[in-house]
Amino acid sequence: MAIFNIKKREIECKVVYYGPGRCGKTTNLEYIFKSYKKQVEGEMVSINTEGDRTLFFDFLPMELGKIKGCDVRVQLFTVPGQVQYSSTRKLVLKGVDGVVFVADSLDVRREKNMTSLKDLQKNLKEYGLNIFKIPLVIQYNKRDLQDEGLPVMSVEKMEKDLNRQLKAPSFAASAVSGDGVGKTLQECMKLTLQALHRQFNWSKEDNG
Amino acid sequence: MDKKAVIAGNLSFLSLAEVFQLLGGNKNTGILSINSIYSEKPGLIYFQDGKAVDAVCGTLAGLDAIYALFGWTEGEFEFSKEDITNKDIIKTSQMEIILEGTKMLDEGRVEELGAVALEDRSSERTSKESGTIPVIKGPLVDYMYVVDEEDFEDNATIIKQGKHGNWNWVVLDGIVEIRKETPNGQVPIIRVGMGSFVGSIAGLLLQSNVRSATVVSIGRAQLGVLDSQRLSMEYTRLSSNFKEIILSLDNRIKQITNKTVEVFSRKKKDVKEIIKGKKVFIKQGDKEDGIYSIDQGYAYVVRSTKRGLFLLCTLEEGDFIGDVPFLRFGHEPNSASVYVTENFAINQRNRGELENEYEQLSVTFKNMIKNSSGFLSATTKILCDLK
Repeated sequence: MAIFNIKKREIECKVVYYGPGRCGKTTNLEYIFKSYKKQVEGEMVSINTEGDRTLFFDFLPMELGKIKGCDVRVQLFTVPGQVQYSSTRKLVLKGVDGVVFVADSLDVRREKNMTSLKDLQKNLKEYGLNIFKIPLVIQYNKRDLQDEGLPVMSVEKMEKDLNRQLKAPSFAASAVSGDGVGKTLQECMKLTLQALHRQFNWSKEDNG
Repeated sequence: MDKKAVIAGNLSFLSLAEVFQLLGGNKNTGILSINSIYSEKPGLIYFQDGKAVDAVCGTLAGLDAIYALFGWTEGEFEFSKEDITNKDIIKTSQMEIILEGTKMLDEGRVEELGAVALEDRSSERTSKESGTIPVIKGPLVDYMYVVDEEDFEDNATIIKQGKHGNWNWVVLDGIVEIRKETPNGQVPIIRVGMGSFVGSIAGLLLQSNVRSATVVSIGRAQLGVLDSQRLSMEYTRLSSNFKEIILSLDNRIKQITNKTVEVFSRKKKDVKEIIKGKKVFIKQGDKEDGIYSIDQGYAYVVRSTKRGLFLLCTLEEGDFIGDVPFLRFGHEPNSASVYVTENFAINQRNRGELENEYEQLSVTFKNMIKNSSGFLSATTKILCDLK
């Protein structure tokens, strides 16, 4: 649920990058932070969590315009995957408006991807959210490793593994070089904003 | 609520992390004070335009104090809008504080203050903290029930174990220590501070209540004598099911304090031997929301921690087991299992009826019950932390 900040005339929504450990969630956010400097507000917060890092910064998507005269501010988060970080996960996922699921294209990570996606579904459900209804984009990351001769799954296979039922928009990406990173974020923000618009239209009808 | 307070609430509903986001988003200036019955003094965080600039928690200040406060998962917060003069000594951004604090809680690097959690984190505590006797603080005192005030000098014996007595006190100022008399001398159990009750709810009922522990003042202390007639009258009006729960809670407290003495005198019994061949009635950590009264047989409440099994108490006919919503005493179902004998028989109690009855109690009576459960939870934790 997005938050209306009346004082700042802002709508604040939350987009979370989810995925198995070392899949490139943080690389995604680091690339965004570097390449869209003008749209970033404040500093990037980086917390070392076991096996992964938890990142956060504020993002102001210029191209999306205003909603009801309010600016839109997007809080971008990554979330630590380890079981022990339950309070952190709760904090980050509570009230999430959009999710980017980052999958690892490496052959050996196939099972990790599927477990993590199931985990996402379970975690969302705990906060009353449905993975089929929440704005969701899937990213097949590390496509570049193919060129280095490492065994990488085909996009088709990954689609079948992860996106057969969800039918979420998906992108091939290589977060290290930035390929597909912007597209993934833009699509997720578009979906998130559409969902917000829908919410506001419903309330308009309610008022008669 | 203080008249300057603009927002107040319970941390189990809105966590400190969420309160931070709320105050940050609204760019508020003022003082956030956090009260826990497990801490003698409140924790304070100073906000300037929505940013935390300084904090105090016990002997800690600044950022360290804030992180320590993330461990206060139970308690009440209150934000009062006022001008502050504190220097900004915290250079960390809001979200970093929130994420770091929450992470430290997850990693067990800040001590969780509250009814003892399922995963006992106390073993990870630094050694400098162990060896000190914790102080339990009670809720605010309702002076309607205080009929007299008494002052005690340092090291005065307020209650002597083994003597008869029906008076109940509430600590108005200072700290008192509860001790058990043993053949080898006095064993300190716990210290209680402002707002805590001293005495026993059972004392309201029994004409000749025998004191089960000794109470001594640590430094100067002022205690209020509670209006026992008024409390007794309230007690007699309770349903028999409710009385049973109160008496049984008292029974648990007595058993736990005795157990602590056993541990001190190294007379611990082998728990495995006791529960051998017994059935599991409630498993630690399982969801269980029934309240049962024991008709026959015995129930053994056992906590399992990384350091082994601890027999907390043995219950019998007339005692209750289960999850009582208004008692957070840190035993079953969350933090202990219940083993029962072959011939065990129970009667289920109506949860809603008990809850309604509790809601209708006077503030002082509620506080006594809350304080007793907090006391039980803390003593249990101490017991399981002892070697």
